Amino acid sequence: MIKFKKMNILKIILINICLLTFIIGIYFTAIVLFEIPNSLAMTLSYFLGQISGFLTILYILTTILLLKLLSTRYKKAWISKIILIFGFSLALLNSLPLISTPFSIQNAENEFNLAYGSDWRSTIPNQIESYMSPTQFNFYGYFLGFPIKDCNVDVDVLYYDNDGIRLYFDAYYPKGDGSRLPGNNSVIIKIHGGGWQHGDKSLGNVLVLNKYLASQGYIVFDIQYGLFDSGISSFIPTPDYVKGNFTLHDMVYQIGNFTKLLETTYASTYNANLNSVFIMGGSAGGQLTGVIGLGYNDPYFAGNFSNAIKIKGIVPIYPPDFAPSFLLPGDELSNPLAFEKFTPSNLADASDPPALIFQGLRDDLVSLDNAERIKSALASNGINCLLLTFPFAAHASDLIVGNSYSQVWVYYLERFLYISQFSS
Amino acid sequence: MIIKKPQIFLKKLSNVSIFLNIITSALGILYLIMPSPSILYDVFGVFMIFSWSLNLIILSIIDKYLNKSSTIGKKINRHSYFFIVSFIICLLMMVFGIILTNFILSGFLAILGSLMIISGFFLIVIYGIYYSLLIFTTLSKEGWNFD
Repeated sequence: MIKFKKMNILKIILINICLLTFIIGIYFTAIVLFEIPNSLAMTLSYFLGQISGFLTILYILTTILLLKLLSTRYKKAWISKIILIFGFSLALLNSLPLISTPFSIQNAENEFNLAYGSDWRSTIPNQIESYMSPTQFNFYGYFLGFPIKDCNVDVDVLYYDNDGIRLYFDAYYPKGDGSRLPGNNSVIIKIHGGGWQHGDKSLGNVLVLNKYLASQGYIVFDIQYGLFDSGISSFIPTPDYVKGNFTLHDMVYQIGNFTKLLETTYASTYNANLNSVFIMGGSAGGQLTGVIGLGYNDPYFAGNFSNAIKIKGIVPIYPPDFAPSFLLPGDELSNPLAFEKFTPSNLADASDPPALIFQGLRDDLVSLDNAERIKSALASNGINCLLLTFPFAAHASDLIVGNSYSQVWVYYLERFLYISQFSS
Repeated sequence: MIIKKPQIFLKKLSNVSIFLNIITSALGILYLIMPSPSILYDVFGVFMIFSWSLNLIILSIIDKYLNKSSTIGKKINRHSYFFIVSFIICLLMMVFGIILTNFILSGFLAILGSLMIISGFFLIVIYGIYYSLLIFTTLSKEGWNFD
């Protein structure tokens, strides 16, 4: 009798957990599909699309469990039907990001065909391609995680100690001779995001990808830069020592300073190939990537960067194509030149390197039109700009590298980096 | 003894499920030991999805044929609950493991993340094998209601 009672209590608890899962599931599904303007939903949207495959199976299991639990209590068929329809609808809606993967792949293929011709794969030797992901997506990578590659890592190397701040970088570089690998010791300068006010190298800058690229022969410099101290707190880890009242001028100056040190010091330390340099960054780092990569040759930034490095490509990831007013003195009327020069699309000219852009189509923070403006500006100057779009991908959807967006992204990124090394 | 159609169907289903779960676990070991890029893993990934789907199908239809008043029926019913709940827990372990290993590459949390992924994955397939085997070996006994 006591055992029977215990079982009953356990079943009631399980029924309530299932119902709670469904209620939370409705909220989560709404976040995956629609823009919900509050900070919790925004934060959750960064992650939910990336784990939607797991959520799909979770909702199917919850449906089966609830049906099983209720079948002993309620015999009415209509209750079962409602639960079945509801549960499987939740599962189906949550599977949309995963189901949309072929569309992302098709879009990327179209972009590559347009930029490099339909036989673009033939430009990559078989021996080189053997180091790269063989296909755009696989389930093992999704459910068991993206393989973390081995490489050398130097952390917290001080490169800037001025204006009351200290800035460090982490260097990821191949074990052994990188010249035989796809990267051929090319340099990737990675700039983290965080709204120019938050964020950090390492943890906040997709370090699994840093290791992966280093294992492929790239020298990845994951750098810090001075952030604007707005006093607003954030869940994004941010060291206090990089905060100050920094403007976009300061940020670009500090990164420019890094390029000069790269020329004089770090290139020899890490055996880096300065004739093949890439700039990559997400969100605010994407905007800075655009400004630096496209403004490198602009007279406005004369003297800011090393002249010894050759930028072969830029990789802005969900890049804002505007200069935030709080980061520049004055406004667009009183200081039009600065606002113009810190907007990536305004800097496009015929001497610019090609670009590969990651853009989620469910990005509430930085919408598609930003990336489209950069693409259009580069295209009008005859420069290749490959815009990879991902349905249902929110902001920062590349953070978990094994997810359905990231796997596709890494596949095309490594090929873009290799092909671009040989562009003029 | 008359073999009824649902019985044959369940037998085939559990048979295939055992086979797919064994392949999935073997390939899982291979993937964790040698995660080098290979087109084989793309094919194997499909096996994993099929084996998980088959587990879910068996779990969702088994109630229809189970005689829960018999000893075997009770046992399988109890294991159905255990399997569903452990499947859910394992999935959550894998998600949190993947998040951890994406943000922390060394130290205790990184090891914990990897362990969560590995144990979550293998618990699902091992329980899948055991559960399907339990069904397969008891199908000819009492505990089922195929009328």
